[in-house]
Amino acid sequence: MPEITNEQVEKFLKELMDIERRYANERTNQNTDRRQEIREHLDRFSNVEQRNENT
Amino acid sequence: MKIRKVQLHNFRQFYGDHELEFATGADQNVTLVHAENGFGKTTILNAVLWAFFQETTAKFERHTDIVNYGALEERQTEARVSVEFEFENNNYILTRTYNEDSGGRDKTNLSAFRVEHGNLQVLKAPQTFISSVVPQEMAKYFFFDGEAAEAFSSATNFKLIGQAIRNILGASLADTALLDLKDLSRLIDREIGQVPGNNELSAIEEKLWETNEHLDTAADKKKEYEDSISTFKAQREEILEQLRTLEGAKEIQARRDDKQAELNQIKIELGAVRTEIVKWVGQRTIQIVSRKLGKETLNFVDEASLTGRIPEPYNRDFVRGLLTSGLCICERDLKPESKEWQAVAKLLEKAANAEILSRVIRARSRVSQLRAEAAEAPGVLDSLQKRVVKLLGKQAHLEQEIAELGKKIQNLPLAEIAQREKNRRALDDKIQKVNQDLGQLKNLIYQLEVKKEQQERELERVARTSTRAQKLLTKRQLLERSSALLKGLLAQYEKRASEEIEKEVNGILETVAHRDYLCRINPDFSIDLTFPDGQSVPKSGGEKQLLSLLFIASLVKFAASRIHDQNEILKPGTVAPLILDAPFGQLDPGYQESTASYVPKLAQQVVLLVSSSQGNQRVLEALKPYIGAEYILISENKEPRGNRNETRVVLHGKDHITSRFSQPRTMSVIERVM
Repeated sequence: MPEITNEQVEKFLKELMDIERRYANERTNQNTDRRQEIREHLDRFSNVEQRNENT
Repeated sequence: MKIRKVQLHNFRQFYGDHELEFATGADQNVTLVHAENGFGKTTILNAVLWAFFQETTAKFERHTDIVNYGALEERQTEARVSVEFEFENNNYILTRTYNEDSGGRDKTNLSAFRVEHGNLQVLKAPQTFISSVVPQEMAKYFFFDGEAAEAFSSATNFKLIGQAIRNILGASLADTALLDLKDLSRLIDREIGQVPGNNELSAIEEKLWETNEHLDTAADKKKEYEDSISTFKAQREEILEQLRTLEGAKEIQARRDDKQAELNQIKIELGAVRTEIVKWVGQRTIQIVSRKLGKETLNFVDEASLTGRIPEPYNRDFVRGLLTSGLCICERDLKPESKEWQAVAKLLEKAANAEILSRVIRARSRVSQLRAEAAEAPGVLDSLQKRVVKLLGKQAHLEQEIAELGKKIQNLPLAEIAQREKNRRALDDKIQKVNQDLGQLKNLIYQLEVKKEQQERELERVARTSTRAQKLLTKRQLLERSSALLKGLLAQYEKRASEEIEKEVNGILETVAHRDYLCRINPDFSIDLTFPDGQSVPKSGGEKQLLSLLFIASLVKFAASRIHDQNEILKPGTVAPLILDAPFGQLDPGYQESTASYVPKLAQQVVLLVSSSQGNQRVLEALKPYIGAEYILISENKEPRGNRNETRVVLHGKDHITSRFSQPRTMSVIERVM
């Protein structure tokens, strides 16, 4: 299993917080939509990082 | 953000339409509203809070009764609050309406508009916009009920203080992120368990899920126990405060306080000596265990230095010297490149240089030191153990003395004192019991964490056999590490915020306090007022309100200092009007005056809602240079006056009657006096 670097963790967290900030002042449907977007962010991030390591 | 105008329609005791224009000047930034209790001060504060967030303060009674009763009797079912405000050089109007006839959630409706060249542009997401102007979690400290202020300085204040610091820091963003990371991590665990064709993975994941559930429950319980202990301790402290002032008990209590202080000191010393013993185990056992090894190492090093005149390996400088001089120690010539020269030069390959020799010397010195320390180690332990025995003896003696003083207090002939002492002892027992339960729970949590680690390792091991499971594990690891990073950052920011707010409170204390007080926000977020020698200030109602007011002031200043903060894990701060309901209520006249001169400097716009007992002449004089708008609330009553007193207020030399009788209806009205 490839080791995740500190830089990758910081980058992932930064992007996650961008999503949180966008939803911060919303009141309706925010939990479902936000969590869905974070899940997509995780999948996308993992795929991109995986591809970068393979090249 | 600055509020220009608040309009009320059938809102609570305000029948029909009423409005207040707030002072917006840079120097005259204070709006002063005078009203006797029950005339509508708190309603004005709550009208603003309700319009912004459909929320009211904790002490706002019958908070679901929004529409004026008289209006309802006339079948007018709608109440409304409109707020006109200025934000980043634009003007806005927000209106929240409440209709008694509408069903369920449709009872309230919010609309917001931007005013552009006299036209109103509808804002599509009004609540989102308002939350971006003033985050809801910060609003309650700007729109603040002073009568509830002492909650911040009560004995159980730590929860509220901690929450207030987190709220004003904008930590809600990170809190939500932490919950999202945790939920997603659990979801990934589930997916790992569902990777097809691997029953072992599924079984381990099932167990891990169960352990996580147990850990969550245990963590909740731990928090509950810790909160109970803090609450019981606070209640006990309140009883002790009372015993310190009660005639008959106060002398014995003073002796008990002294003994308790001695006991606390002994416990600190005991803790320190026990830590020394733990350190001894960590440091000295190595020396004792390595005594034989040390002896052998020394013998080896000594032997090496004694056995050869030319040490093995050969000293590089010595060999170079032979080659340079061209003469060997056996007096043969060493001509360059001759057979003899090459034989001696070959020694350079093995020769020791200065660094190697130095290393040997250092190793020898360290081993010698280890031997010396090993020799004295048992003596150190013996001395530490003797200190523990001595301190334990003192501790037992003091505990006995404290128990006897407790009995003396309980046996005093005054029933009130005896009862308080009985309650104190009951609290002591409760604290002890919860502490024991907490200890067991901590042990359980430790065991569960160990189990969790084992299960995670197991999951990782088995997952290596599947590419899909491995990918999921990488995601899981990413989530866990992000969560750890976020928690660490948040803890740092909270600590820093707490320090800055404490500094701010102390800065204001220097200006307004009559005595040399210091405020301390402890790591558990309890807040203390102390004299410079560290002794707690016995808190009267006045001191409590002063401390709370200064705490609120510091929160507001802190929020303003963070308005342009670009921090990635926190919401930025905000600037909003400070609306204080009954801020001077319990302060003594001296404090009322000094606080009144300071309050206008707390925010760019300040609204003060005061009763005549708070808005006395000295307070008014102190506020005078800053007042830009001034109102009185008048109570109109349908009933005749009868024997009731007429309420009046004298402002700027003019007498105002603030209660009117035999009016067409019972309601409050707002009149501008300046």
